[in-house]
Formats: sequence, structure tokens, C-alpha cells
Amino acid sequence: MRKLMLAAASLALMTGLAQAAPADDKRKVSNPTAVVQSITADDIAGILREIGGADVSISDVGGENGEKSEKVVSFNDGGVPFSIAITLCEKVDPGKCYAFAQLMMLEDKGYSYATLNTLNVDTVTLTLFKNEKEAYVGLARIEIVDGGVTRERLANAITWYVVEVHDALKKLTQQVVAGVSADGKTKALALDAAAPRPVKPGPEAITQMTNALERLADKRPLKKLNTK
Amino acid sequence: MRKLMLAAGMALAMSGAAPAALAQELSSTPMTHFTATNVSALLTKIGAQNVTSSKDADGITTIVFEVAGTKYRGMLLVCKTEPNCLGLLLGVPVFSDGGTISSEVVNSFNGGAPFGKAYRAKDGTAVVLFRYVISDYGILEGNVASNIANFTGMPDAFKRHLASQTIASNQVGNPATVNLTTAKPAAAAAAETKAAVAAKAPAAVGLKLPAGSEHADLTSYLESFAKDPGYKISK
Repeated sequence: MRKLMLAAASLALMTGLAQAAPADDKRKVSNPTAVVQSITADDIAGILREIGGADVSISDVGGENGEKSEKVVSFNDGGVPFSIAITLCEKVDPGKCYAFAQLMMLEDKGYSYATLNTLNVDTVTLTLFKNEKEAYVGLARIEIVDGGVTRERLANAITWYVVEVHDALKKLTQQVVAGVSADGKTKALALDAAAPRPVKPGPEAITQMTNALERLADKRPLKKLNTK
Repeated sequence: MRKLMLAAGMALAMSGAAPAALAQELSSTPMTHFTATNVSALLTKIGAQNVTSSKDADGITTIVFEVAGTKYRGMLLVCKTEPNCLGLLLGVPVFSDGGTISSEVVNSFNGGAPFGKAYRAKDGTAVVLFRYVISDYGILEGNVASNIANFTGMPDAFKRHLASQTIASNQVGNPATVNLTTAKPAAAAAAETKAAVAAKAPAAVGLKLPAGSEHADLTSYLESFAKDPGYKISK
């Protein structure tokens, strides 16, 4: 138990939670105990506005070549752009969506797999990965609302994600990185002093996120259990 | 009625058991805490088998359950008022008799299916798949059930992913090649970094968690998961 308490205290310190101000009434979500069984982009945008997300907007991403487009809610927190793609739609009930994928991307400054592996356990809600081809690192979390969660749980889930992304960015800023420069020469091993630059997710990255859950659901009970 | 069908459908899919025996209704009252009792009862309700729970010397409660012959663990964390806990860490180790599992495979799995996470443990001789579920402010049984059901799909998803990979397990393609001859002395680099970090302190975060919010550091738990029998991928 002592280990757990230490770990929890350590995480709280790392994320600055120990100094967190008491909850601001303005940032409380309305109807906190209302149960949400499915979501829309408007629902997520509404919650974000209530809890203090800045520059909240909804857009359609993708949809080229006859493929379905994704509803994506974008917002900003502390200068960092975040995206939330609404997913697991249509598969079950037309017009209803049962999950959302949160995604923040940043330039890959040569972070090692070991660094990302460590951050995957240093964080509670984030899944970190790198895309070698596109040279970015993704920080993602998929939340399911299927079966029901309260509005306040949803708001808390988004907030946890955002706070952990900020914490991960801080840790990545202090990582030792090395790599190969454009001219093919090896770059020196150095502590990466500059904060990694956020990258706006393109349609491909969004689709990859949303397809991931749909693929998983294809193979598992979620599809079946929602069958009318 | 919808709930009833959800429960029956899930239980059927998870265990292959007869639906009549499993048609129990899921509660529509949000649960604000996980306990050994409510999680075990839910697992049984949705068709998981051999559900048992125990507490270790550190007071951590672990629930072990089986789905389709694979053993999974659910660890109850952040228990501020025993036996009520706010976090449920679902985990299952995956082993491959093809040898160690490369970092590339783990990374690309995380990028392709980030429903949970894959953690490369024990130098790649095991990969722990895990997902952390938070109950703060209310989560319905149906949602916990969906989280568990989808999580139990991860080992098969990892197996398919591994089979689709052609990358060797010797870290080919890792761009983090280090040129130590041109590296800066550690002390100089550290001082430089410290100054740069201080100058580039992260911008104030707008969204804030309520005071006292906390969830656990998972490292030690995940390494312990890797010692258990789990999901085996045969060549």
C-alpha cells in the first residue's frame, strides 16, 4: 500500500496536481450525473466549452474518394492543440456513436522506443507511439461510452487526457535524443532542450485512430452485444 | 431490454455459454467505485470464468478471471476508502514462442490499435497489454463490461498484428543511432537543458482536475503481470 501511496503522490507532484486549485465552479460540467449512452460531436464540444477548453470547433475530416468522413472536435489547452474524433458510429445504430478517440501529435525528434515504452507506463491514460514514415509521435486515448457513463465522468476523462499530455510533453522535452539528420549524418546524442512542436493530425492519422477501434470491435463482442 | 440484450450478447460472445443462463440485467445505477465484490460480480454476470480475488502483502486487491482459456488480471488501485477503489488496471501478458518481441512491433501495435497499450517487458520476452479504467464520478456496469470485453480482444489483435509484421526483432530501422564521439559532456548538456526548460516552461494548463485527483504509477504492477501465465502465441 505504501508503494501505491508513494506512486500516487509522485504522479500528483509530477503533474502539478498537488498544487491544483480547488475546482472552479465555472468549469463544472452541467448535469453531472446525467448518464450518456452515446455521443455526438456537439456533446463533446459542449462539455469542452463548459470545462474550459479554448477554441472549440467541429469539423469533418476525410471523406475523400467516397469514404466516410469523421467528425472531429478540435480545441486548445495551454497552447497545445487537441483533437477528439467521434467513432464507432453507424455500425450499431444509425446516427449513434459509442466511442471517441483523443489524439495529440507532435514532431518526432528522434525519441527512442525505450522512451515511449517508459512513458506508456508513466502515464495512466495515454498510449504513445511513433510513426516513422510521417515522423510524428502520437499520444492517444480511446474512451467508450457504450453502456453508459455520467457526464462528469466524460468531462473527467477528457481532463485526465489533457493533463497527462501536458505532463508527457514536459518529460519529452527533457529526453536524451539522437538521430539521423536530413543529410544522412548521425546527429549527436544530446538532451533535447526544446519543447517538441505539436503537429495537427491529418485525415490519415484520424482515420487510423477511428479504424483501430472499429477493427477491434469487428472481432469482439462490442458489435454483437449492440446488435438489436 | 436493451441492457438485457447487451449483457446476454456479451456473455455469449465471451464464453460461448448458453444465453439463457446468462441473461442477467446490468445495473443502470452508476458505480462510483470498484470493489472486489462489484467487479467480480460483473465479470461473472458477463460470462468470465474462474473469477477469484485476493489481496497481496501491500494490500492490493487483484481479481483473476478467464476468457476463452486466457487468464486476465484486474487490479484495484487508488483505494482511498477501503474497499472502494477508483482505478481498475486490466492486464494480460503475451508471450511468443518465436522469441523476443521487438520494440517496432510493440510500437506499431500501439499506433494501430490504441484501445489499450502494449508494454514491452522483460526485454521483449513478454509484452503486457493493459488498459486503465477510471470510475471517478460514475460509470455504469454496461460501460465497464464494454471496456472488459474490448480489452479481452486485445491479445488476439496483438497476435494478428505480430503475424502481419515482417520486421525482424533486432531493432532494425531504429533511427536513434548514437554518435558518442560528438555527444556533449553530460554535465554541460544537463545544465543547458535545465536552462532551456526553465525558459520554456509549459504554458499554463486551462483544464484542471479537481484537487486530490490521483491515479497510480503502473510500472511495478506491469512488470509483475509479466511473471504470470498469460496469452501464448505459437509459431
